[in-house]
Amino acid sequence: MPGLSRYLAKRGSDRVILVVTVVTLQFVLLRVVPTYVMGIDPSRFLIDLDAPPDQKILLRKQFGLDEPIFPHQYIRYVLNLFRGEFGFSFLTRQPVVNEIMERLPNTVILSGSSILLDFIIGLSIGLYTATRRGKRVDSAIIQSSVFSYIMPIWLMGLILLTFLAWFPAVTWGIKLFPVSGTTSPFLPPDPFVRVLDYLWHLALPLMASVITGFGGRTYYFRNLAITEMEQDYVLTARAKGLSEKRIMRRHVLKGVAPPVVTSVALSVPGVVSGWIITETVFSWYGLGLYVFQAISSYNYPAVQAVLFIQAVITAISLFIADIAISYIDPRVRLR
Amino acid sequence: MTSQASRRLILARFGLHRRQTVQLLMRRKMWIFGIIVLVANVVVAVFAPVIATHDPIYETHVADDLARPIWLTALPGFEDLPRNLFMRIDSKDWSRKVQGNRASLLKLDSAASDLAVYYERSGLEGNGETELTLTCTFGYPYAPPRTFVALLPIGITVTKLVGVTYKFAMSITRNSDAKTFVVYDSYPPWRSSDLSRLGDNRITIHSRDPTMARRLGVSLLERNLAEMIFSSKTDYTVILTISILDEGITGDSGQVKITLSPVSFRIPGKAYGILGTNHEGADIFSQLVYGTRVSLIVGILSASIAVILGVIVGVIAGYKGGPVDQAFMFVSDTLIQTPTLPIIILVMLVFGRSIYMIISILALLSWMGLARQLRAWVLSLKERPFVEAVRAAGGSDLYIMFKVIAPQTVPLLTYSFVLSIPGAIMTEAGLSVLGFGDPLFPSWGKVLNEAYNFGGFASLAWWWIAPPMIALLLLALSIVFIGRTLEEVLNPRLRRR
Repeated sequence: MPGLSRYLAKRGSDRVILVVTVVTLQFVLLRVVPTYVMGIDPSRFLIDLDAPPDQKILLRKQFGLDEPIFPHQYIRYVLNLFRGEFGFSFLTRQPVVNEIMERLPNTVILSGSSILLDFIIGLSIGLYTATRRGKRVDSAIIQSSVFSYIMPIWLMGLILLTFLAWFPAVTWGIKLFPVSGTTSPFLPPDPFVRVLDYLWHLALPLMASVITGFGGRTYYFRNLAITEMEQDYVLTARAKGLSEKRIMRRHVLKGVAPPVVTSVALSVPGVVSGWIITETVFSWYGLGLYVFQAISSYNYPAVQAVLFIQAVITAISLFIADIAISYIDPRVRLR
Repeated sequence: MTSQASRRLILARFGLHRRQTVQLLMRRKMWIFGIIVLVANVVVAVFAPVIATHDPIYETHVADDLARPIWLTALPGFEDLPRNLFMRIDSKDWSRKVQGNRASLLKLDSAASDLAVYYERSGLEGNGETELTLTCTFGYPYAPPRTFVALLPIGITVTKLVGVTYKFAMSITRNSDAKTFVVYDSYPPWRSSDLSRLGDNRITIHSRDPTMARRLGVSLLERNLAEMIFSSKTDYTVILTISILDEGITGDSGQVKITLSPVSFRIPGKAYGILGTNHEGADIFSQLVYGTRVSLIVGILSASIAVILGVIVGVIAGYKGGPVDQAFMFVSDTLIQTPTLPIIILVMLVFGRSIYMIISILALLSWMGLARQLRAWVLSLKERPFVEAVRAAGGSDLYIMFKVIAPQTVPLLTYSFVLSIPGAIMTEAGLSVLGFGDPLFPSWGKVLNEAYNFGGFASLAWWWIAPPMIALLLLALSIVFIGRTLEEVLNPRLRRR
C-alpha cells in the first residue's frame, strides 16, 4: 500500500515538526529572549556572582554558554531533550528524569481514563440521542452540553471539591472524598487496599473532567450521527427491514468512526495542557502539579522537560490516531 | 451616509430586513437573558468605582476576617452578628474628671480635636499626686466580637521638671456588672522621660496582644480577650487614666504637656457589606465589581485580536492559495495541536504576569479555528461572479480580499467573535486561579485563588467562593446564548433547519 505508507510518513513528519516547533519555541522563550531581549545572563542561575572572573569563564565554557546561541547551543538543547537528558532540578539537585518518571504514571492514568470515559460516554449518549431526535431527552442533552461547553474543568473541580469533599468533611465530619492528593498516608501494604484508595482519590478529578468534557463531545457525536443517518445507505438498510439497533451498530457507527477518532485525538492537546490546572486544583501528584511547582520556583530544567514531554505525548497520540484512522477509513488507504 | 442607512446596509449584508431581525431576536428567550446579563455586566464594569465601596486591591481589614454578608442579620439566628463599630473619640467626646491634691495645677485645652493637658508649676509648691480620668461610654448591642483594636496617639513631654513622673493606663469597664479590664498600663515603673506616640507611632492595643492577656491573667490559647470583655450586650466605658506624681524635690518652674489625638477604637464586625469579607478583611463585593472589568476586557480584547488575526490569515490563505495557503494552514494546524496552556505560562514566566501579556498571548493562540473556517468560505466565495467582475474591473488583490470578500464573511465573524469570548474569559480566570494572573488586577479568578490558598474552601465561606463562580458562569453563559442566537439568525443553514 504505497498510499498508506506515504500518508503515514507525511503525518509522522508533521508530528515530528510539531515537537521540534514546541522545542524551538521553548528555546526561544527560555534562552534567546532572556539573553538578547531582556539582557539576563542565564549563567546567573548557576554561577556565583562573586566567583573570580577566570572561574566564571571556565564554568561558562563547561556549560557551553560561550558558544554561539545558534546553531551550537540550539542543537545541543534539542539533542539533549530528545536523548532524555533533562539535567538536574534546581531545587532538589536530583535528575529531572527520575522526578518525572515518578509522576508520569499518575498523570497518564488520570488523563487517559478521562479521555477514555469521555469517549465512551459521549459516543453512547450521542448515538442514543441521535435516534431520539426532537424528543425531550435530545433537548435535555443539548441544554446540558451548553453548560458543559462553558464550564472549565477547574471550576467544575472546585465545585465538586466544595460539595463532595469539603462540605461533608466540615459539616458532618465524613470523609466522603479526599480534598487532595493521590494516595492516603499510612496505608497497609495490601495491594487491594492501595488500589481502592487510589481509585477513591481518582474519583473527583475524573468526575470533573468527564462532566466538563462529555457535553461538547456528545453534541458533536449526535450531530455526526444525525448527518450519517440521513445518508442513502441507512435508508436502504431500513428498507431491507434491519432493526434500528442493528443499523446503529453496524452501519452508522462505522460511518461515524473516522471523525469520532479525529475528535478524540484532537482533544489530546487540550487535556495535556489542562494537566497543570486539573492537577493543581486536586493536588494530584503528577506532571501538571510538578510543572506548576517548577514554574513557581523558576526551576527551568523541570519546566522545559515537562513541556517537551507534553509535546511528545501529544504528537505520539495524534500519530496513533492517524494510524487508527487509516485502518478505519479506507478512503485514506486508497488515496 | 446616515447611521440609519448604514445600519440597513449592514443588515442587508446579513440577508435580513431590520424588522425581521428584531422579530427573530425578540422571540428568543436565550437572547433576552443573554443581553440582560451582558448589559448588567457592562454597566457594572463601567461604573465600578461608583458601585464598589472599597478599593479591591489595597483596602484590607475593613471588617473582621471572613465576615458574613450584612443581609444575613435580617434572618433569624443571625440577628446578633457583630456589626462594625468604628469609633473616633476626640477631645469633645471624653468626659473628664480631675482628682488629687495638686489638681489645681492641671489645665485642659479641648478646643481643637486634640486634647491638650498642661501640668504647670512655677516654684516649689509641695509634693502630691494628680489624676486625670477621661471616660467615654458607648453601647455594644451585638454578640461577642472576635477582636478589637484601639489606637492611642498620645504624647507626653516633661520640660525642666525634676522629680515629676507619670503613668497612664487604659481600661474598659462593662457597665452591667461593673467589671473592669485593664487593657494597657504604662506602670510599672513611673516614667519620667518623654513619650511620643503620635502620628503613625501610636500605641496599638490589640485583643490578640499576649502582654494584655498576661495583665488580665488569662492565656490567649484558652480565651479570646475580645469575647471575654464584650461578652454581653450592654454599655461599655473606655477609661483613660493619666497620673502625675510630683515629688516636690526642686523648685524649678516647668510643665508636663500631654497631647491626646483622637483615639480610634475599632471593633471589626463579623457581618459586613453586601458579600462579606475575605481572609484579610477585604470587601468581596468590591472585588467582584472590579472583576467584571477584567473579565470583559480580557474576553473582548483577546477575542477581537483573535478575529482580526483569523480574518487576515483565513482570507489570504483562501484567496491566494498555493504555498501561502499551505504555509498558513501548516502554522495553524501546528498551533491547534500544541498544548497551549504551558506555552502561555512559559511566556508569562519570561515576560511577567501583566494582564496585557495574558490578553495578547490568549489571542495569539486562539485564531486558528476561525482562520480554517474562513478559508473554506473564501474558497467558495472567490469563484463567485461578483469577485470575477471586480477583478475584471481592475481591482487589486488586496482590494478584493478585504473590501469585497471579507465583508461577505461578517456574519461568520460576528458569531465566532462572540463565541470565542467565553473561552478567553475562562482561560484568564483559570490562570488567575493558578496564581498566574496579574497581581494588580482584581479578577474573579484571583478571588478564587485566594479562597483556594487561604482557607475559603476549608471554612466553607460560601459568600467568598460562590459569587465569583456564579458571576463567571453567568457571564460566559450569557455570551454563549447571545452567540448561539446570532449564529442561528445569521447562519442561513442553521436557520432553515
